[in-house]
Amino acid sequence: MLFNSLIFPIFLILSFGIYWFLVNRNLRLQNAFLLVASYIFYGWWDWRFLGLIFFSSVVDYVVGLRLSQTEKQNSRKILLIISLITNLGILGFFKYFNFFIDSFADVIRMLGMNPNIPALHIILPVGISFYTFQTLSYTIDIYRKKIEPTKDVVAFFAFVSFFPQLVAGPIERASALLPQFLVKRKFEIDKARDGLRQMLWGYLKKIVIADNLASHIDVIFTNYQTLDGITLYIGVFFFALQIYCDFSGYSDIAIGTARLFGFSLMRNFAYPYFSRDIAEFWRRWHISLSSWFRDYVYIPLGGSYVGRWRRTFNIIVTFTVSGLWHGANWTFVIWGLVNGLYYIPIMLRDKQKRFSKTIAENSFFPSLSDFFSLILTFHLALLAWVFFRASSLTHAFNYIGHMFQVPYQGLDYSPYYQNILFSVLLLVAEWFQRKKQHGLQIEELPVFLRWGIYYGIILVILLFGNFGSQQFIYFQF
Amino acid sequence: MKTFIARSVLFWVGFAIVGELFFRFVVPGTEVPITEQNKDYGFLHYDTSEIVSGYFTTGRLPHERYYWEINNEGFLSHHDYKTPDQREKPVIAYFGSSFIEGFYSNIDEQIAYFVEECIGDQYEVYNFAFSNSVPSEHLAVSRFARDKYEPDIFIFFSAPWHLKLSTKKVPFRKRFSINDGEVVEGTVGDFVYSRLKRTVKYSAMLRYLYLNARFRLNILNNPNEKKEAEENAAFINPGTINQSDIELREKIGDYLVRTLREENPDATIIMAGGTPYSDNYPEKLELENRILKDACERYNCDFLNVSQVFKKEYELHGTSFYVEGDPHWNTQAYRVIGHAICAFVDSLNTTNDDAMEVNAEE
Repeated sequence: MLFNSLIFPIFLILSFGIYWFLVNRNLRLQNAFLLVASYIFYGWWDWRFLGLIFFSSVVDYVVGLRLSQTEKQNSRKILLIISLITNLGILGFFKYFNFFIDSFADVIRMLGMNPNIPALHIILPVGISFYTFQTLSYTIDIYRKKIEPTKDVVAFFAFVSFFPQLVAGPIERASALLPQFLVKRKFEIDKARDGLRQMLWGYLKKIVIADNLASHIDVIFTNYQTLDGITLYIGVFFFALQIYCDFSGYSDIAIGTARLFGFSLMRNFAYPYFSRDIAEFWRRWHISLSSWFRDYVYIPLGGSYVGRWRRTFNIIVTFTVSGLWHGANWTFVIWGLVNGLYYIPIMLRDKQKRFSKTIAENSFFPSLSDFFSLILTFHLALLAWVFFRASSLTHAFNYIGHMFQVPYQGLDYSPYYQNILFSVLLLVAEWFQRKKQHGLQIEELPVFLRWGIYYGIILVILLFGNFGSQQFIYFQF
Repeated sequence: MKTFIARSVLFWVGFAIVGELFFRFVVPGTEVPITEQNKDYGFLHYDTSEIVSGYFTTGRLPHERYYWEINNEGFLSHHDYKTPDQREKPVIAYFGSSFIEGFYSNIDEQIAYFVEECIGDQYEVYNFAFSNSVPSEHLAVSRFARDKYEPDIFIFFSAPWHLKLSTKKVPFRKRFSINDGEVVEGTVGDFVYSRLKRTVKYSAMLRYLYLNARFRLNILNNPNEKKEAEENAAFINPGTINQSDIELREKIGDYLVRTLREENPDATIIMAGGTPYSDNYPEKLELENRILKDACERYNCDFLNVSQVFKKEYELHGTSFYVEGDPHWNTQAYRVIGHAICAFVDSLNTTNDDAMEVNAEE
């Protein structure tokens, strides 16, 4: 089920009503209902893949309990390996099987042989990368003795499949989310109201900005050879806005929905395009994934407590794996690698936390140096996004090359004006709200003004929104 | 929780009021008349007792607005229709679907208007077209028109998939079926315009959402959607139509034209067809139009190829005949069709006059 389909509001209202009016007296009932609702939500897309979530949940539940029952290091390692092989095995098969087979075949071909290796027609289960990482964090944290396993099977299954964040995150840690399933939720009106506000902001970003940009981006990236540099710049600028609005929009809707049910999910985006260097950008972009890679890949590799070369190696590995997580294509790997290369000079100078405060913290306008740093960081991100969006590495390099070879041809740019205006308006609105958790955190305003803003946003969505029920980009990852 | 629900209800009630005003006065949602059924003849037309005029708007912003009016018979027309004893001139009556009905043009820019512009001194022109109607229904309306208004010239517009659609069952609409290899006209069920639907039509916001923004509540993915799309493609693409389908269309085309001729032995009958899709006008007629043209040759009627009329104008002036973002014909198309009808009727009169002169000489 998509958040931007018309069935979702019906599902949400029904679930909300049942959750708070029929099953609210008992914790187990609350969790059981959330489990059923989550399975319906996921099964709406394809019920056959519910088996994968169920299987993953069973394995990690059992492994978690067993880990707590033994102190023998070897047994614990074996249990962890079982969990890793099961989860990463499922992920690897569904997501990377053909990629590795194709890459292997390419290598064989380069050696002058002609292999006949058939590819499998595999459907990628929606959200598999997200819930796999979530359950992995559970077993790894128990193995590290950071958390205790739960014996409440319903709570655990509901935690793994919690519908607001099941298919595209935020990737929650068991230590943060699971305890919320172990206490009875009480309705908090302020939390629910702010959840609705955050959902509305998410819908605005997704339906009005991201989905309207999509068609332009497709045309520009497909026909880049016939277009000039300005248009190609607009294309990658649009893509930067599209992927941000699409994914942060989804996260806003997910976090807002969870709040309606009494849960708090972690923040996933913190205005990343207002960053002054790449280190800050990665602290603000897809926070739940960045921190996951930091805690479960970068730090186990040695993190920053090793020599320079080893640190550089750790950074490159972490960013490259992060790129590969996004998709089985060399373009994603290079995208990760490029970001890693951006990061290395900052890391080597120990300047990762140079910009730990929000830009223009005590003023409306940024300082000149902050402004130029912001512009530079944004364009470094843009350059990397070309690899992310391109269909192949050749496509990406040609796109960038063409941008500079034919900078201006005097083409008609007017079809892009409306979307440029909307994109700029969104960035301006978010600049105003940059110290807030989300773009519509406006509880301090008088009620008539707030309602006016809500009505205005709903009307803008109705007038300009794209209701083709386009999938969220991050569903494919 | 009570406060939350009370405020939510208040919020949405407030939005309903704001939205209603907004979509009525600022960005007007399209206005459409209410449908009713002529039970005696079995066709649909508009209810003349309620909404009889309004603005049809298209698109999300609605940048195009067309003024429409319903006349005494519940069809789009800038004047009422007169029975033979009330009028002095003969009548040209045309029948068809939304392509020629006229919602995509102002009421004084209809086909009827353009025809009357050039031959209005000789004829009155009556529009009996209705959205979503197909030839099986056009036949039913033509009987009503014949009995009440006795037209001298009947013109039937048919899109290249309408013969086939005439067999697709819809309970309250006239359809053909095949029984023992013969075409038979089915019975028509009662059309009920629910009170809810009637009320909804008075809401500007709901009309905007449904008709302008085209919101559809697809609770379940329609498994027939793909099949229907394939069928629609097959309606016009001869390469995908099998032999039995061709025979079905031929039977219906033959039955339609033969029946029209038998029921109106003294009238001039013109079948009209073309390509209502894009500025691409093939020399060859689409299968169904070809069937109608062949039937016309057998039963002494004429065929007006709208494609060729459009093509000529397009090549001369580059005129586009389609509403932006929509396959329906626009005002320019109506003007060109109207003038083509004038020329066609003129040529018929000339031929008749010549024949009369020859007879007189003999």
